[in-house]
Amino acid sequence: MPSDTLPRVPPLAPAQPRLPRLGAVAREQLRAAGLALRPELIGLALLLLGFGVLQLLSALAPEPPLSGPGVHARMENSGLNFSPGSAGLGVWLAFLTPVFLWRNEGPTRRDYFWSLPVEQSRHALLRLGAGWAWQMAVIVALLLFGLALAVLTDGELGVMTRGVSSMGTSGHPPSAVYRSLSVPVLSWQWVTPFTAATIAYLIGSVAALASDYPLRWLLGGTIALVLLHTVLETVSPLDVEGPFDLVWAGRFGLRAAMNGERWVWERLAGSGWSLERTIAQPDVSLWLPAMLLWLGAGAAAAYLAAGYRPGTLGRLRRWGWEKRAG
Amino acid sequence: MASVLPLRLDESPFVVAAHGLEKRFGRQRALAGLELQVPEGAVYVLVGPNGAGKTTALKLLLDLLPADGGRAEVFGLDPYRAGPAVRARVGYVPERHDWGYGWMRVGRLLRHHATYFPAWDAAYAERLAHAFGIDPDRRVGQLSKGQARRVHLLMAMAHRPPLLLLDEPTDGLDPLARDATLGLLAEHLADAPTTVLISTHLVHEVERLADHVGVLRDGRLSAQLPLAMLHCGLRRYRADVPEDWAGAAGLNGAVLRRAGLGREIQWSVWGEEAEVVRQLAASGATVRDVAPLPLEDAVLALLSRKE
Repeated sequence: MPSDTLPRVPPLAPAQPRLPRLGAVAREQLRAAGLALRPELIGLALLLLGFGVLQLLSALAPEPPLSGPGVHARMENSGLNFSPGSAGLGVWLAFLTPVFLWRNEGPTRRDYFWSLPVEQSRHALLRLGAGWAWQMAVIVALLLFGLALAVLTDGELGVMTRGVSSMGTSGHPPSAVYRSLSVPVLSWQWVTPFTAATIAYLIGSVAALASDYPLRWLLGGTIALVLLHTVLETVSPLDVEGPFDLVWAGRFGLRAAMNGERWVWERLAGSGWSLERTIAQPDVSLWLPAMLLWLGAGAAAAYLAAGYRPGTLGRLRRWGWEKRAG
Repeated sequence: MASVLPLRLDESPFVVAAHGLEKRFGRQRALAGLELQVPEGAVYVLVGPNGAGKTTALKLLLDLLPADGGRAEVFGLDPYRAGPAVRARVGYVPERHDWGYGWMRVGRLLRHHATYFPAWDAAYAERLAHAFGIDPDRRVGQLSKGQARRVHLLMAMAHRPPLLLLDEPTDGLDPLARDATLGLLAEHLADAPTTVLISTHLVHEVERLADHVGVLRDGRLSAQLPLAMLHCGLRRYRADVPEDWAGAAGLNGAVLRRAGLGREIQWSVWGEEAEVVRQLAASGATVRDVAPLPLEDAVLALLSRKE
């Protein structure tokens, strides 16, 4: 290390300490979050590329003849429709984005981040915001990808396939009844990929900010919920509400908050045929309160988690002690 | 004779001051009423064995950990209340080598770090990078301990902070790199008046820079004084003693360390030289030699002292 051969820098007084501008920190966090998420973003891009190629090849292949009861769910149009569901993968990935974003930076290993001259919870919120911006970009990219695929495969735009949970038929229903599975997307439904991804991102962020092992909490929580649901259903199969409905399937459950769909039973009948099914029905009055509730609760929990550090209880004790001491 | 080792410094203003600082990890007490005083412009070496609380003390000064009791001041600011303002004035080298973002390239990490310090001196950073032999294209996670340490030193120094907190700064450096690093640090201190608090247990490595020393043991300081005072007040006495020698009762408490072979005994004693010699002579010992202790031996003596 030939320091003596290098030109000397003129002596300087210590620099006058200045705090960084929050705007500069936010921009840097946005860049850094993009870099941190780059492997996952590249992986997602490759996955979509493969999926897109397969879909295009499938669209170009000759159609098999449509006949028989086995093709109930098949739509008349074989192209991919463009709907909010095109971003579905992004919504599920949003649970994991914070885990990647805070990789190796659990609360007990966040020293570097905290040693920087920014108020620590505000700093964590800036990082959280940067990750969210990338998450929204992913949703936009997925929607654009879905749009491109729909155009290239001659699918329909703004049309979605409603989920059908069960189907019972008698006789031979006319094929027209199956067309009702394809319905136009309601305008509010275009917002759902963004709000659903935000809710998922906030839930993932709480785990990533507050725990060194966020994956364990996310997976463990899901498994525990499913197990609890299974046990409760086995014990009392009639109409068990319980925690599963509270968290997932109920009026204010996560499913309602994510896509605002309720399952509705309906019976269609004609001459010599009948059909029973439960079908997912979008309902803005179900979606809006559930979405706002989860968004608010998620944001509040993420705000608290951003301020969490090991020893937080010690801080609270000290705060109480100082308050008492005046 | 006076056996009390100095615990308070007279030179103010203090850039760093800790008043009864306490920290617990569960049942374990890491700091038990730390009273630290680092004068402005000093190079203060905080020495102590592993687990003495050195790293914890530095983290508390940056508000990386919350204190359980007591109070810290850095430039008169409470790190708990004014953390960003404190951290903006500090260049910090942590004990950990995996500090920063392992997935980033070194050059990118430096740019990232520079964003947070508006006073970042890019020309100086480049010069340090050249001098430290830092490759900006390497991934941070792939650096060896020594290379990572040099990157951390660059990050701490390139914004020319008025205070450097260096936690084991030479750990992981080979002798050549250590020598060059300490040379650059000395050059940095000569260029810009900077206060330095170095935490280490390898005191001989930083001896040439230090002018104050604090000895940390079991979470509290057992001595804190200027190096000149330490050299002056702590000496090694070599003496022959008669058979059945009962010891020098007057030295009780001032003897920090004692070693003997046959009838020749060596004492490391804190106190005025003439008084110690007089006490030894009065007890029947014949003083052969009195010498100041090298810093490492002095620290060893201070650490060996029984409370």
